This record gives sequence, C-alpha cells and structure tokens, in this order.
Amino acid sequence: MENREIIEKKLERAKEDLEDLELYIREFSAFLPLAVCTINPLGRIININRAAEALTGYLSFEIVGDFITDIFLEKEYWERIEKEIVEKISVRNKELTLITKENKKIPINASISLRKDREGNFIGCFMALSDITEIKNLQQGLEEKIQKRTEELRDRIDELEHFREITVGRELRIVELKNRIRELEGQSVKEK
Amino acid sequence: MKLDEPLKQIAKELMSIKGNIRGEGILTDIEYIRYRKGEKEVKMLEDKLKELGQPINFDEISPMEWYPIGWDVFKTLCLKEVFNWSDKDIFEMANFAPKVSFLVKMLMKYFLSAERSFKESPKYWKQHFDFAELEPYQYNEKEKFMIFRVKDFKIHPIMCVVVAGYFLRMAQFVLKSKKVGIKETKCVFKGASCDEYLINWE
Repeated sequence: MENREIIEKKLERAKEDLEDLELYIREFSAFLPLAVCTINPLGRIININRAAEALTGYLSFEIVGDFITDIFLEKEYWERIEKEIVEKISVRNKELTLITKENKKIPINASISLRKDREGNFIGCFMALSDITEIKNLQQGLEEKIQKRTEELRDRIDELEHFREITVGRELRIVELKNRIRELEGQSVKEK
Repeated sequence: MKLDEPLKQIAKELMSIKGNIRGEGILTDIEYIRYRKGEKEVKMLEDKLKELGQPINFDEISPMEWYPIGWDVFKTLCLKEVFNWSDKDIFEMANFAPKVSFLVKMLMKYFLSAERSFKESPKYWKQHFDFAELEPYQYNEKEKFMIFRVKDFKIHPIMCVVVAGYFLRMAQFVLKSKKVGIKETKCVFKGASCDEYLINWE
C-alpha cells in the first residue's frame, strides 16, 4: 500500500514536470523571434512557432499536416536538401523561396537539423527560416549600383580610347608628314 | 427545458462508464471551438454543462491528467446541441485535434512511417485512454489500406465519429498520399463485437 502511494506520488510529480516542460517549450517557442518548423520523416509539418506563423501567414493548425514542399517554390531542390540532411545531420544557409498564404513569394534562408530518438532513429527535423528579403534587396541594389558604375567606367574608357586615338593618331600623322617633308627636301637637294 | 431532459439522462449513464481520457483529449476540442466559434462560445458551452449538472471548468483541465471519459463524451454531445453541429462537424473537430496536440508532437517516435505507426498504434492509444484496446488488424502497403479494430469501447455512437476523424488525421500525418479516406466498417452499436475502421489511400 505504501509502495503504491510512493509510485502514485512519483507519477504525479512526473506528470507535473511534463506539463511544466510543455509550458516552457510553448512559451519559449512563442518568444523565439526566429521562424521554426518541426517536420516529420515524411516531410509533413508537425509544428510551427508564432514567428513562423507570422512569416508564412498561416495559423499553426492551418498548416500542420501539410507537406513542407507545399510552401516552397523549389520542390525538387528540397528533395536534394533532404538527402543532404540525412548525410550531414544539419545543413545551413540554403536559399529557398517561401510561398505564403497570400501567395507572396519571399526569399528565405533555411537551416535544417536532423532529429533522432534515443535509439538513433530518424524522427524528422527542425527547420529555421529567416526572411532575407531586405538582404536580397540590398544585394540587388548593390548589384545595380555596381552595374551602373561599371557602365559609367566603360563609357569613360571608351572616351579615353577615342581621345587616345585622336591625339596619338594626330601625332603619328604629324610625324609621318614631317618624314615626308624631309624626304621631299632630300629629293630637291639632289635635283639641284 | 424538456430538450435538456434526455441529455441529463444521458449524462447519468455516461458518468457511470468506467475509463478515463487524458485532459488533452478534451482541450484540443475546446481549442477547435475557440478557433471556429470564439471564446464567448467556449463560455457558453461551460454554462450549458453547468446548467445540466455537469460543470467543467476548461481552464482547470490539465493536459496530462486523466478525466472520466463520460465528461468528454457529454461535452461533445452538449456542444453538438449548443452549436447545432452535425456529425460532420464533430468529425472535423476530431480531425483537427492531432494538429494541436502536444502528445502528438511528443510521441513523434511512433510516426516514423505508416507501417511503424500502424504497429505502434496500441501504445499511442494507451497514452490517450486508460481503457479499451486498439488492435492494428491489417496493413497492406500494396493494396494501400490498413484496418484498425477498437475493442471494449462501447460508450456512445458519437465516439465512432470522433475516433474516425482522429484516426484519419493520424493517417494523414504518416502517409505520403494526399488522398486518404476512412470508413467505419464494423460498429458495436450495429451488433458487431468491436469497432473497425478501414483507412485507404491513393
């Protein structure tokens, strides 16, 4: 009887611990500013945190159960990433295009980490997504600036080239004429 | 008031049934009401339960704690009446439950593949109910179907709808196919010795 009481108390304690743990995970996941998805071994979304809800535009229960490939443009590329995760345990900085609920395409950077259970079985993965729209815009802006500057430099080079052609060409012509004059003067002296 | 009399009678019968369900089984349904109807309607349901002599404060329900199965079934029957929901609505509510279930996230190790999930399903059942039994009866990858049998679960016909909705979502989690269906092929309320569910996919 006493043993039973002890076991029941221990069970009660374990249950409380589990609930505290759940609460902690829920609060931590909600606080996390980084969008995180949990995916099962079949590639179905099992959980997303609040930041991922904000990024994708889906509420958790609207997307849980869907395939992760459903929200990305690069479906075949994802299959390659999947193979890479199994080989390397984790992959970082994979650029993908997220399709939001409003059908908006957002460039994202994905880092994925493999999950294993205590027996070492593959039980899915965690995926962290960061919106790189601003970086991409900045990058595009820089590329445009570089292109513009390159074009300007090319024009300047062309101008210089043209100038060189004119000035050097003129000098060469003068030298040529001077030589011709000398030649003609030499002929004239001989004739005299 | 007259309409409530049958419910009161049903409550008495349900409360006498032995067996418990995890609090989470009740909370996931409340989450669905919150999503589909709103917070006010959750309160409405609480008031209705109180009025019928079965007060349940949903805020006090702890997900891992065990609660009488009668509570859960009675709550389902009540919400059906309060919101005028059909069996289809109840099916959808049950189909929604695993999406917000902490237990599903925690017990992910059972869902490595469709076949493994099928084999491990009795353990999963025991995490949700402390009575009855789930038997993974037949799995056929080639023909694309699996059959589950639920034994000693004669509670109320509404539970057949609930179990079907829940099982379908679990199958949708572990199958690659986007077209998955479920059908109750045997029912204890129709004279069978157990409930049987056929899940097929394309």
